[in-house]
Amino acid sequence: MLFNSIHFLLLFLPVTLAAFYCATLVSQGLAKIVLIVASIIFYTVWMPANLWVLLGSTVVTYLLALGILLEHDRGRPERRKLLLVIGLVFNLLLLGYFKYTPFLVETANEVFSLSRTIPRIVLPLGISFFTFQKIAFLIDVYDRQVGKVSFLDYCLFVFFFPQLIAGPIVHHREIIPQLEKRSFGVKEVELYTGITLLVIGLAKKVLIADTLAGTQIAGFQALAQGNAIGFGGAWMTMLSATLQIYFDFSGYSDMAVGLALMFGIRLPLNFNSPFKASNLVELWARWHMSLTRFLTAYIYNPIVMAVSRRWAASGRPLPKKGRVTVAGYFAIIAFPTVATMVLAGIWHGAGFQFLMFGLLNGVMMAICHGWRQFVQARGWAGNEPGFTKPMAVVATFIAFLFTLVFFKAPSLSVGIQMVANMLGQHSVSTTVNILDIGLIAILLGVVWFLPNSQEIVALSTQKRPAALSSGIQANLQRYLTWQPSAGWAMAMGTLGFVSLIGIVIGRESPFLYFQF
Amino acid sequence: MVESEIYALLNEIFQDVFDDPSIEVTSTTSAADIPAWDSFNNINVILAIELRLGVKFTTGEIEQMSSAGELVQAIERKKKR
Repeated sequence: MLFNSIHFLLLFLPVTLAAFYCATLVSQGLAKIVLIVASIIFYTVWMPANLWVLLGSTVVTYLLALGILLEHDRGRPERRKLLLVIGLVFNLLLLGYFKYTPFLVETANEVFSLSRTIPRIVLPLGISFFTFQKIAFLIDVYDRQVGKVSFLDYCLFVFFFPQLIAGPIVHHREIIPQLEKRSFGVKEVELYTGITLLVIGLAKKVLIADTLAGTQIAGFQALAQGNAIGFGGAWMTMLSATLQIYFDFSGYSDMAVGLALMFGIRLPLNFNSPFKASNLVELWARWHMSLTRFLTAYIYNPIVMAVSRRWAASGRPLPKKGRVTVAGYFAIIAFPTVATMVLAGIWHGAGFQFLMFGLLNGVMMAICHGWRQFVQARGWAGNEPGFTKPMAVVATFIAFLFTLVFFKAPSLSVGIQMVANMLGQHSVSTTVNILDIGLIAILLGVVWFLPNSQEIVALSTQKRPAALSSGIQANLQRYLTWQPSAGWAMAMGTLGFVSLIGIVIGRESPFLYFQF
Repeated sequence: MVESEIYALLNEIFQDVFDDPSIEVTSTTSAADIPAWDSFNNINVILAIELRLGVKFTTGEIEQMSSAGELVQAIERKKKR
């Protein structure tokens, strides 16, 4: 079921909310069961065939977690480790089978000139997300970051429908304590704030992202058919695509956080105005934040720690600010960064274009770290002073846009064609619609200058950027800070209504991240 | 190892890693207070602690350390064992 569907918004959500609130009057346990059952219905309505993958992997992971805790109490570290390895291999094999088998068979066919039939495997919805969540859970159980978890709370942690399909990728410690301590019930401010975020997210998806979809689909289709689209066409395609991904996924994330809040559960921030970042490392700390956090904790950190411990054991000095050797930079900084981002690329999808997406991001982030270590730390360049900051923001946006070519392209070769067109390699005269340019200019203004949805509802506890403390932006910030007032209710009601009309006259299009 | 000793050690390590002798670590010092405290320098801080104290942190522990107070708690747990 899609968040942006009439069935979800006007049937599933009101019924589930009503059932949940009624259940809270009876008992906390019943309220949790209502949410679990509703979440399974939510998943099954979309794709019943693969429900067993979700249910089966959830139960197996829970049993393994219990086993790990038990072996710890018995003081048997080898068995504990064995159970962890079984859990990791089991979850990764499941993900690997469903996500990568067709790609691997196809690649093997090409490389070894085979003619094996490419199996048709239906990807279970949200498998990349719930697999990551379970892996994190198992590692944390192994590391004794988790004591004991009831099966009911664990099921709700995994199944909770606002985050089931495409995140935010939550940690058990963010959700389970809320489930253990919390007294569920109607909390007005949370309900209003949740509805506001839901409406903002819905409008981002229906009114903005879906409107942008047309331009970029046409551009990639033309390239896939072997036609050049020229400099103007390529840039319009990629600007539309970049803004579409941003509004689609940040819209989804707003809806997820808002929906969870309506049930009294706080999900972590997933987007924090990533296009305001002045370098790619910062952009990734603000874009799909729960994924970045996961990658940092479970891939980047272990690689760096392993390399660094070995490095230190051999008696070599660890890299320090301004005192990094070239070998140290490549071993301890560049290699872990690139490796992590390549894995992040492949996580997004099976295909060489996704590998390229990760590789480009990794290499540019490594360059960014190198700049800090070799140039800035030695005082050879300032720390983005004055007017260079807006230039850095625009440069970061363009760099990220180039990497997204390979995120959106149906294949590596189409991606390369797109880059060639963007660099003016094919002189094709294209007429660029002035309305499209106007829309893109307005949307760039929105992402660069307006407060984000979390700032609007003042959910984020993060400090406001210093730039917002003065002049026009401060006034905008004041006007755009949500309050439980009649004015805001009218505004959100209207925006919600227009979005619903948008759904009715348009077509329901899935969120881009649902394919992962 | 008492808490004041741990803070003294952290002061030394932070000043060295961040190359800033003015840093004074308190229990509330977090990544928001030290702009250079990113994932890379977080690892450098943890490695320096590991080398100085001969302890080893797990993946889960490293991930949760986002303030000096959490670092101190983790060190205390290690030293008790």
